[in-house]
Amino acid sequence: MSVVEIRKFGEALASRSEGREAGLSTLAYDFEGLPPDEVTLDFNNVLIMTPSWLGEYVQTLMSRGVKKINYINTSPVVDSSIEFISEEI
Amino acid sequence: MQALKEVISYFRFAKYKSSPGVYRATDRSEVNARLVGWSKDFESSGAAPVRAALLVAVIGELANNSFDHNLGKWKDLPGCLVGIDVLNDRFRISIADRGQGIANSLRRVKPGALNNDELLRVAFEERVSGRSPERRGNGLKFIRKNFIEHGGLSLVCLSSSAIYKLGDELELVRILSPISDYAGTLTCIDWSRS
Repeated sequence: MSVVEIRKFGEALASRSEGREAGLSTLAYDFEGLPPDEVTLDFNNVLIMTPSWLGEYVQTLMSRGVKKINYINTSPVVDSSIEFISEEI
Repeated sequence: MQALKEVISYFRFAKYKSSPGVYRATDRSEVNARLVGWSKDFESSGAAPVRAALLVAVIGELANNSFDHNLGKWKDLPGCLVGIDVLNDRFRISIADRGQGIANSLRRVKPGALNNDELLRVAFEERVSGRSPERRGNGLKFIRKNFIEHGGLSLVCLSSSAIYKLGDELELVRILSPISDYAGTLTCIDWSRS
């Protein structure tokens, strides 16, 4: 299973443009241009998350072929963002 | 309430004085770099970690909105001014920009007879974005939901000659509603410290 540690992008993730950049970086360097169908996002030690960053990150992955996203080690602030992006994706 | 006073001055007159609790950002990175520090400051002032994180996420969304919707549309000063006042029982957060205003941003995608007050309500309560057809538009709903569920006391937003209010308290409404001469958007939120 492909697991991405979101903490490597920072502790506080709040910007759409940065979320998109993080998504493109994941596609290039974690998946080497061949994204899997299913990806797990690990939010361990992520302190601040907004639906802007997360929405853009997930949309970027899904626009390149990722079909299913799982979320682990979330927190209430991460869960709140996940709830809001479900309408965008 | 020194920070709020400076944010109002920025909103009305494009002027402010550097003061404790006042943060100027001409680029979104200047806000994003401060988020963890603000969260720790809120915890030091008595907020539970979850509440501090949610409040900072709200600030992050509001500040990034200033940049997302006003690039190339600033009236004069680019960016935003963030104010944080720590009061006895609450944090008072204020964010102002001198951009195009929320209703002007949304009118492109919601043409028709809606007045500016109604457009402001739509911005906070419906999934809609002035940057449609990009798939976005949940930021203000996120703010509203977390305000209601996690310690929000009062929220007032002034933009495009319209006002949006949440919460039962009247102090922020009394301070802000007389303001009529401004550019851009000002959002002020009172959030419980405990």
